[in-house]
Amino acid sequence: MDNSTKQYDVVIVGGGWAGSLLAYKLSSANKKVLVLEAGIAIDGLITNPDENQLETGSRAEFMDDFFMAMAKTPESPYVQNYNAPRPAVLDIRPVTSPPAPEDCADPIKSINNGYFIQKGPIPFGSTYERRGGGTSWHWLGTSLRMMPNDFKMKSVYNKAVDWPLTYEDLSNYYDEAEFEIGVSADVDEQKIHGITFSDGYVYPMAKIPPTILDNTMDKALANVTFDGSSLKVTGTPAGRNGVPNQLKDGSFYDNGRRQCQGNTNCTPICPIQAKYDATISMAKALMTGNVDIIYQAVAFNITIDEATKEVNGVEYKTYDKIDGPSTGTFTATGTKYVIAAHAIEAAKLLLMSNKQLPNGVANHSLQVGKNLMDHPMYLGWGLMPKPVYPFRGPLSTSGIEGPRDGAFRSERASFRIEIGNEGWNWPAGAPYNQVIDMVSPLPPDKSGKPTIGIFGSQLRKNIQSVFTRQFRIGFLIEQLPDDNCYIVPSKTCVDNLGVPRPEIHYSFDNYTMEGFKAAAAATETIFKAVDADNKTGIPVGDGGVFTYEGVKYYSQGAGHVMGTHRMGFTNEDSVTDANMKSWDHDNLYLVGCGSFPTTATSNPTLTMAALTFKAADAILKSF
Amino acid sequence: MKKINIITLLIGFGALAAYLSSSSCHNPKPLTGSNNGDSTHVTTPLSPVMPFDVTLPPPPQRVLETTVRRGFDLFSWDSFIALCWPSKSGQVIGQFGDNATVWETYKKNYQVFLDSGQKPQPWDIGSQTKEIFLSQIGKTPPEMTAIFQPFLTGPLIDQNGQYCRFEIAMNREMFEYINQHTLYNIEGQRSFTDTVIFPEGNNATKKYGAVMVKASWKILGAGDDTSRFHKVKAIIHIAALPSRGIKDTSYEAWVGLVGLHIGTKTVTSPQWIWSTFEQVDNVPDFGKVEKGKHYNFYNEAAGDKALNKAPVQPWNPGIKGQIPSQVARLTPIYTGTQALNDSIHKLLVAINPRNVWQYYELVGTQWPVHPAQSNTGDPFPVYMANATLETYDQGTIKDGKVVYVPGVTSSCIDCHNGSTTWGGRPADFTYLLKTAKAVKK
Amino acid sequence: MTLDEFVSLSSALTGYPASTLKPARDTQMIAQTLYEQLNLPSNNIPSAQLDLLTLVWNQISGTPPPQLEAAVKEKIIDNLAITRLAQNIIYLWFFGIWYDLSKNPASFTSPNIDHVVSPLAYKNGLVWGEMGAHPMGFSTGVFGYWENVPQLPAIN
Repeated sequence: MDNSTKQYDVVIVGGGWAGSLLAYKLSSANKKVLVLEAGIAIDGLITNPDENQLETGSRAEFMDDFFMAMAKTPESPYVQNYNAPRPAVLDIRPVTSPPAPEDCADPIKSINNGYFIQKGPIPFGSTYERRGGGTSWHWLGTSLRMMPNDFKMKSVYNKAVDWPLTYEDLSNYYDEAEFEIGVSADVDEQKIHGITFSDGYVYPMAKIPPTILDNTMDKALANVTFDGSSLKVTGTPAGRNGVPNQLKDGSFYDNGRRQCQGNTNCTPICPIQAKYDATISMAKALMTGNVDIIYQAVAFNITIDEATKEVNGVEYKTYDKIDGPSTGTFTATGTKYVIAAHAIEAAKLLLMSNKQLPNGVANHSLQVGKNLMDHPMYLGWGLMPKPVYPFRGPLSTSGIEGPRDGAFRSERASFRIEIGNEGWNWPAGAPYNQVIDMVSPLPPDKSGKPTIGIFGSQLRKNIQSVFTRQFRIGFLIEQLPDDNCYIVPSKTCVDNLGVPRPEIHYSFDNYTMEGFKAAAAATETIFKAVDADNKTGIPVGDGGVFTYEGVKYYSQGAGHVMGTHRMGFTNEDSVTDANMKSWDHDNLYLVGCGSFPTTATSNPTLTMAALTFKAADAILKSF
Repeated sequence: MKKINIITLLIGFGALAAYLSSSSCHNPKPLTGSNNGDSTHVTTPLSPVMPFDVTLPPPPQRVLETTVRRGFDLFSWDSFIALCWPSKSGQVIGQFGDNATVWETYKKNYQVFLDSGQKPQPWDIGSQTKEIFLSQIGKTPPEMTAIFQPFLTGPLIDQNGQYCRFEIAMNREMFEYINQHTLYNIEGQRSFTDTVIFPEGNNATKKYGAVMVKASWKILGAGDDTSRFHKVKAIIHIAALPSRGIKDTSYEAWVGLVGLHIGTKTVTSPQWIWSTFEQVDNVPDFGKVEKGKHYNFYNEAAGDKALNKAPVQPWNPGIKGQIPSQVARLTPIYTGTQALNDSIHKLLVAINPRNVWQYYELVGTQWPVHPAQSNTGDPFPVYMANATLETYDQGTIKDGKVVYVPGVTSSCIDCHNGSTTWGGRPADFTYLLKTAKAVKK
Repeated sequence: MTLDEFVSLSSALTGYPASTLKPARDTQMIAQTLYEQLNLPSNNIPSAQLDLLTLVWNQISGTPPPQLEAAVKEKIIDNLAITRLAQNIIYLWFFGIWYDLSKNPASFTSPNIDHVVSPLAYKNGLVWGEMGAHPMGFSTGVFGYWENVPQLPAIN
């Protein structure tokens, strides 16, 4: 629908994580906000009655799709939308050298084969969602703060760049983000590597209780070190509901949602919304009455006032059906503009907007789309000597944070280690693949002919023995900004609306590959300490394979897409200032994980939320 | 499974069961009501006595879908009749059309969980009936009083653009448990280290268990046949919404009862027995709209594109001209339950042809079939929803068919199993405790 | 194959008592739901295979319990003509999934007709309870249950 006649204080492109938090904070300060969301609506988050005629989704529908999916991937609850497509983990395949030409004449067929145009040499392994609430639908919930040194990689370790802000600058915004997300954690336990908290600060909720696996690892690893780093196990701050705390001001925290029931399904979807997702903040934003949201509105061009260099409109296309044609082109206008459309989509939109500025909007630095980063993950899995009862509790409740910082960072990537509560579900398709191996083992010729397996009481005994002892750890490995990692709008491949798809160039430098090597070594150390049988091998997701010093490694995407419109100190080497305001256009803000100059090792959501609140403050002050 | 004539199997179980199955020579003692000197006498087998627990046929005759279900449905109706019995003594239910009810003398949640966090007033039916203050506009799985809770699944808007309101009340047994254990404020719950176990109704010891009641009301207005509603005058609250020029206001209006949940903790059903009733004009069954009928929450002309979808934001009852909710019942009332409804409606009509209670029907009863099997005790039916209280969680429609989703589609027991206290402990299947406030210093 | 035959055969194949698979007071009708898969034309079950499995099962179903597993092993599991169908019955119960009979479930070749039978079939998959857990995405546990050791179901 056409909102071109209405003038807003702020136009936000993207109704996901950053867009929802921004809409909430700006509308609460009485600003009139328009949100353009490319994907489908979420039931209850609609401001225009006509939207009820379009495609809306609900948790019930997503859960139904999840239950019925054969492969319960992060994307399984969320149907592909060919007019606002997104990548899927099942599409991650090795990239040939040179990359095979993409046959994308038929957008739907081609997108079914993978949304990204992967140019390699390593396929980009991370995915995201495009719909109301964005990727928050399938985030894990991990809400770690970054450490002071993470902001100073250049000055401390002579690597990459510093952030244009410090931990201290962000500390209050961390508080604000933890409150809005509703984080459960213990302050004392989180005071590591120089992380500090304001006096009397408590997290909104007490830490989530650890699992039997966590306690087993904790006992074995308390005094073990790797490469000088402690391997002590600590609770992971989580954006899921625990027991309410009494806050600094004496009030008791309550967000009205249920406590976690340990559905072991944070990714792909929490069935009871005990885990925060961005629809919660968007609902609060809409309830102010200050926000309009238009769904199925795909921004494709940002226009600039040639005289002032300010943004004066966002053009978007609409559609009725997720595989249907475009139903119109409109322009949204406001005083300020925010692109909060996910690191890859935001960069794509800026680069696509090249009619007035040949290099694209906000791209004087030529850094837009560059420095694409993730926390490539190394998985290690094994069998414990005694039952640890996985597949219970939240997907992850504890981690090993010692190796996140140390002198080694001038040589190799640091990492944090996530302890998974879902057995071999991620690396080896548990429980399906192992049960199949028991009941109908694959014949040596890998044909479909019948084979003989076990059944009855023997099958039951084997299931009890194997699945109660499975565990896995995952290393989130630091990646530095790199010229070889970037995204550009494809010149040849478009989606169903004719909007270019992301063409991705991606690889690992030696710093990151040294991180993988260290991760493999740390796996040995840890498994030895816990007396586990190391079963690490070829994971089911084997597309991210690479060889380093003659050893094959399999990387997985963490879903942490960062760096494509980074903040910095000058307009020559960064896209925005520390308030995420474009150096080039005074009324344009770029907000999201794309703002990160470096990745650190913490799951980026909490930091992104803190940055979003910082940007919101700057926007409010600018009026 | 061969259909069994359930009615004949039920002789001797509970007042209603006995009556419904009786021949003329085997009648329970009929009840007689009088109107203070009025010579009109009314005789009815309906009873003001609440059942303690469900009464089931002997084990060999227990068939889940028929006899057992009938036993629980009878429990529901027995409870409903007793709860809606006139609070004024000497009267019979619906004798004068409508009547103030017993459950309306129960303590409301805001009379137990005071804003001050202080100890509530002792149980006193007289003082409890005075105020009816309806502020809740959103039905969520947990009964939250605040309007802007993010867990809201959306308000229910009637054909006149008016928001439905909700209230929660509890019986004396439940109140006393909360009172005795200082569960009426946050601090009390946080220092409570025991397991919350509300009293259980028990046929053997003739003890009542905890009963909680949740009612949904619509503001009576144009198009409503007020003779078909139990009605009360209530204070209606509208919260401020500055962006739309709406100020915080309250006003008086007549409201009609459109839905009633009854939750009863009993010894046979530690996961509680969940009975739910609705006013008969609420909504059509999905795909079965009666032509020309005036529904409270469905408009034939509006079509089904927004069927069972939450209203447009922002949600505030003060906004003029809001689009009514378009609601259908996704699970039709079970035929056996419907037959029981018909029988009881006849008894209510016999008392008075204008008996308002004949316009309420049992939608269903959910109970734990194997209480010891798991925390949720294998609830049956697997899904259950009241169209006015779980409007948007009834299931979804996929390619014209109703789809139910475990863990999301409304199931009283599955959802209430997740309720906790302010101390984070299981709250014994009630979200009520979470409405407690901190002690004001 | 009748529903009763399906339930008794399922009991022998899964190692669970028939009364667990199809309780007297059956709230979710899982046995019925799974049984219907055997009659679903789109599952392409060769009728000779289904008939043979039924026949063989009826021949051995009266075997005394202590010898029953051995009989099932010899006559069904080791019989390449019907073992694949028997395996699919195991998968129905443990996963709520029907796998393409013409393929090995581990092979992941497509196209195939693998499918989850229904959300309730998934939710009732036996594999989860067997390991002391719950189906991913459906827990009836209370907050913090994961700190405590679960009780595994007894195996006879």
